[in-house]
Amino acid sequence: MNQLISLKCQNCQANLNGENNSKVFFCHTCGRCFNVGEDKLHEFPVLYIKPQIVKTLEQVYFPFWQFESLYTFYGEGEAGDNRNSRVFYIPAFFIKNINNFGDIGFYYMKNNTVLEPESRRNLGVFPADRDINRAAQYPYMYMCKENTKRIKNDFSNLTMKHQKAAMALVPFYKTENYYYDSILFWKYPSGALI
Amino acid sequence: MKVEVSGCNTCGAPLPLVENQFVTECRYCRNKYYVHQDIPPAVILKPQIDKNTARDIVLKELKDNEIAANFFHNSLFERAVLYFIPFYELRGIKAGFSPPAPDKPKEYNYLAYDYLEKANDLNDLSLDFFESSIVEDAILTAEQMPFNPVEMRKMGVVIPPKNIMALIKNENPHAREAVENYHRLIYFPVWEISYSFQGIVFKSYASAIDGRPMKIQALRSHKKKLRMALFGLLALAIFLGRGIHVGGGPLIVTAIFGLPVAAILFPYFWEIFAFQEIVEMRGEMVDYQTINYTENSFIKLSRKLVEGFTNLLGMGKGIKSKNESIDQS
Repeated sequence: MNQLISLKCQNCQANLNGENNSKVFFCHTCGRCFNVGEDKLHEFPVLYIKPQIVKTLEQVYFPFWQFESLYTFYGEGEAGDNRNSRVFYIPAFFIKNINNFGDIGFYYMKNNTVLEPESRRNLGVFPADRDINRAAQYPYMYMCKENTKRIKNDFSNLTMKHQKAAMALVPFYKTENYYYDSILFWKYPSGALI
Repeated sequence: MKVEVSGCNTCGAPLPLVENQFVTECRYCRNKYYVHQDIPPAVILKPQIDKNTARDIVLKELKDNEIAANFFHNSLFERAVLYFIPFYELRGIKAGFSPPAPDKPKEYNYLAYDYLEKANDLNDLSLDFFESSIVEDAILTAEQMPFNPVEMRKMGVVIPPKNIMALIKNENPHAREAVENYHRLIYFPVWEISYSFQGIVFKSYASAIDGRPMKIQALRSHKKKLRMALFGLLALAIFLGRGIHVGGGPLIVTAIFGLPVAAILFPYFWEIFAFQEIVEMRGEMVDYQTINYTENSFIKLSRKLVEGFTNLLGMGKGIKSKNESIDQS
């Protein structure tokens, strides 16, 4: 219990913001993002996603891990060099009852998200307790789900390699008891997102 | 709750490290630290109901038909205490191919699992009645506050976690691979409202999130008791009469035949319904408990009659022993 990691921005030395159960901390001064590692903080670039559905409601940024990954299918019917690159969005928070409320990250992968050049840093950021190591398993799961018929039972014909990782902040609309995302406009009870 | 003291890396001031609190701040130089721990982080569900609202909710429940009519008017409010009850939450994701089925194609999917387990059995506090659905609903709707033991103690009583953390339950023989799992300690706030009636203190509990009454304790309605005992007598008379009155017939006639036997067994019905005095309502469930209390003239007379009647028939041993405990009060 004695190992302390100083929560200071490595760029501007400001105190980082995050909740008690967060694994990812943000600097509200210079807009950087840090993942808590074993013994130090790891910095990741921050991207801002443009809302596709615009509403006049209170907004808050929700953190998503963004991976750019190379994947390859092997086996019968997968002739030639079929290496492909793809962008994945993994929520950096946990969604309760994912089967009822829907896995937003899987559908963002299919949706063409657009980056916003100017960030609105005055918006708060939802706490993130899914660190990058846990999030890194999800692109593989998403690919398996999307290509169920192509995948062998022992998963031996799909390989994947992550090339880049970043933190993508997606604006969500906040009402009294619910959050709505600004890409698909799905509705989540406030306690379903942890 | 364990507290260790370390030193601030910047100013050297003593830095208290509290169990379950992962982010801590130096009180002198305001530097923040992340503390690595092997135990789960904790959160608090923010209480949304104040003391007066909780008291009103509980008092409103005392007008129920099950409860004695004079209880609401004559009971005196004693105190309201906010308790923070600890729960372990285990949540995670499992992924893999669905279990093989003859008519279904192969399907890869992942599902979230979520378990709640009491972190303290709460027997000492008579708070062992929790339905996990109340807490699950509250988690979905309540605002969550960062864990801060000092602030919590200003608001109410913090019950420490005792039990060992739950392990992943194997609910499926074709258990899928657990991709990730998290543990969390959740403090659920509950109002305890105490009020006294004829010198006895009763305690009721309501959720401090949505005000849902969780346990209401009161004195049971005398009218209701008498009605239930008479109804039991009649039902027993009809049941016994069917055996005695050969050939069947109208219910009244059957009842008359069964009445003498039922009258002999009536004291036991009275024992079941009349001398069990506290009524406890927990959601849809109603439970009764025997207590020692100051008798009014109606109850005293009824008890004497039943005692006399059962002694006359030489079958009141069981009843007498309970009445002795009442007399001792």
